Amino acid sequence: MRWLDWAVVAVYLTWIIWSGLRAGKRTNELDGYFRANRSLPWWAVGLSVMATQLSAITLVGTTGKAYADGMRFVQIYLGLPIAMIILSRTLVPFFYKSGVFTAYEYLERRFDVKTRSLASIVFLAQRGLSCGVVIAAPSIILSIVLGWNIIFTILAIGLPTIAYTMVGGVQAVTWTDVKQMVVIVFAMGSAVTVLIMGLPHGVSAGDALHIAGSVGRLQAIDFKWDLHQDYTFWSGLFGGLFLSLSYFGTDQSQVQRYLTASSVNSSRHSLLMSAFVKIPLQAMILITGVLTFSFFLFNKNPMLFNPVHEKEVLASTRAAEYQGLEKEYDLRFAERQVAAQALADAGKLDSSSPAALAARDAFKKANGDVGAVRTRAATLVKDVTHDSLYKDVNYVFPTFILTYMPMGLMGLMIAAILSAAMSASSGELNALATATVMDFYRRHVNKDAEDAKYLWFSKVATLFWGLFACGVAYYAANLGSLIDVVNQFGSLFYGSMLGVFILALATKSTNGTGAFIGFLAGLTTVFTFAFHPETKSISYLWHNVIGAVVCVVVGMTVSLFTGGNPTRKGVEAGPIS
Amino acid sequence: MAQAPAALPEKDQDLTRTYALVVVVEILTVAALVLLGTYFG
Repeated sequence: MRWLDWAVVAVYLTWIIWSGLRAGKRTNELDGYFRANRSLPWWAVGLSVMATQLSAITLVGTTGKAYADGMRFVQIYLGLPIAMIILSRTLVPFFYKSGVFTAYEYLERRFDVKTRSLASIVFLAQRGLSCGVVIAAPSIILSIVLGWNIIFTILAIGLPTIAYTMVGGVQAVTWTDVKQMVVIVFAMGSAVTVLIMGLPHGVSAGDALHIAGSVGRLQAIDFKWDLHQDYTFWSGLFGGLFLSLSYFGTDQSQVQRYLTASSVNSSRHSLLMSAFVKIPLQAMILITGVLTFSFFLFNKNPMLFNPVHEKEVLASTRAAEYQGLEKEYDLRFAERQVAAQALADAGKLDSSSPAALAARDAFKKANGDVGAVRTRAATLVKDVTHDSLYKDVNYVFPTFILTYMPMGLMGLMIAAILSAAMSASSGELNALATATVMDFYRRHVNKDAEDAKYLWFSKVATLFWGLFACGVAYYAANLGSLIDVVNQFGSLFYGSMLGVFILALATKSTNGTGAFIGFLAGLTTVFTFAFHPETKSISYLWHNVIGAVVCVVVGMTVSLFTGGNPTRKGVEAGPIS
Repeated sequence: MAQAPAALPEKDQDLTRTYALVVVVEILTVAALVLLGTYFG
């Protein structure tokens, strides 16, 4: 990084911390601190909803996935718009009119305090760990590619986020989210421009897409029915629907966003904004990854993108083998570059002509040869480092940023990665503090304290969860490639959590015992499916469906045998007294 | 000082047309993604 890049990052951090600290109004009241006095406009809440979901893992990992595997990942979002419609008609007005601070508060009114506490504990455990991973992933990448100390990168993300979330509460989170989304979109736009301008003379963006498309990088939709594949149309539509229903409907980090809107209709509009924008936005991020693939056909990239693993192999007894592979890679890379240029030239004539078809076959073969060398190098890395999960896709986009982005724009891209990490973690910290205070401290420890007392405790809780997340991030940094596994961790809990809310809203006869046992049964079943040798290959997206179905079926059955809900406790919408 | 009129309770907006639009946009987006793969593939 050069001086201008450092200046851009410094200006960004100063701006975000300054505006975050000044964002809160009437944050000396509990309602102002946790729900912004229900005063925020729908568009700001909508951007905050998207910013909380868009972490640095999404930004860097998704472009890397598109580089290596194409656009299939976009299918995970196919259920999201339908989920937003369902939530807009069901949970959103219910939560809003109930006047709750947390989603789990409603479960006590409908069922009992043990179901509320269990749901909140599951949220705290799962979201607390996930907040650590959200900070860890970009910290590892930035520390490796920039040579920064890992503790420094974790604190560079964690401390400013803790500071403004502690002081300004949900208002600081929302308004900084808005600014961070603008930084992310602007930075991604500049990256796409640099990628296109970096193509050789005579190769247009269309040619670049044709070349990438010839090796399947633009095959976004796969209609095949295969439970073992993570990304198909069906797993995205059904698994993604349950995942989105659960995440946006029952995860406090999202529920809290739309509880701050100025009305029920504003809350609905804020979610529907994601319904319209999310898939095109993710498709654009993935196309950026596809363009990175085409860019690296004409601009040299290292054989493997993770420099730390490369150094380890070069320091081992098998260094000569690795160097031999590098020489072979250079040769294959040059052959593929010629083949890509030939394909771009042939495409300008008639894409179905024999010459164009031959150029296409030649490029496919050349690309396969490069891929084969990379695979052999990755196997060598796995042998030497004993990291069986090794993959370097998360380093593809940072390598492009640090090698080819011009001065100033490189700093902007680093600011965008920090933005994505900070916007996701600030919303999570705020939600963790809210659940700690409202579901435990106020409910079990101190029921009738002054607002000032709860606010003081909220700030302590934010600080605690922030430091906890930084600690988890430091520990997670040593997990290496295991971090990708941790990212799928949420789907172990989401389905069962959704099941409890389905029981609460869609059935009148379920009682607290049924919901509690159904919740535990859903969690047990999903954990069994995820780790049993016979079933662990089933895509994690289906875990959301399994958890919800088991929880609902068991919950209803147990209620049937335990007297049901004869008084119709808590089934009507309305303020919680 | 004149007192501001009390705010009327908000009516739930009928968002049926917006929901229909969400579904139409999703179908068109999927179609566009399929075409993207077919055209450039």
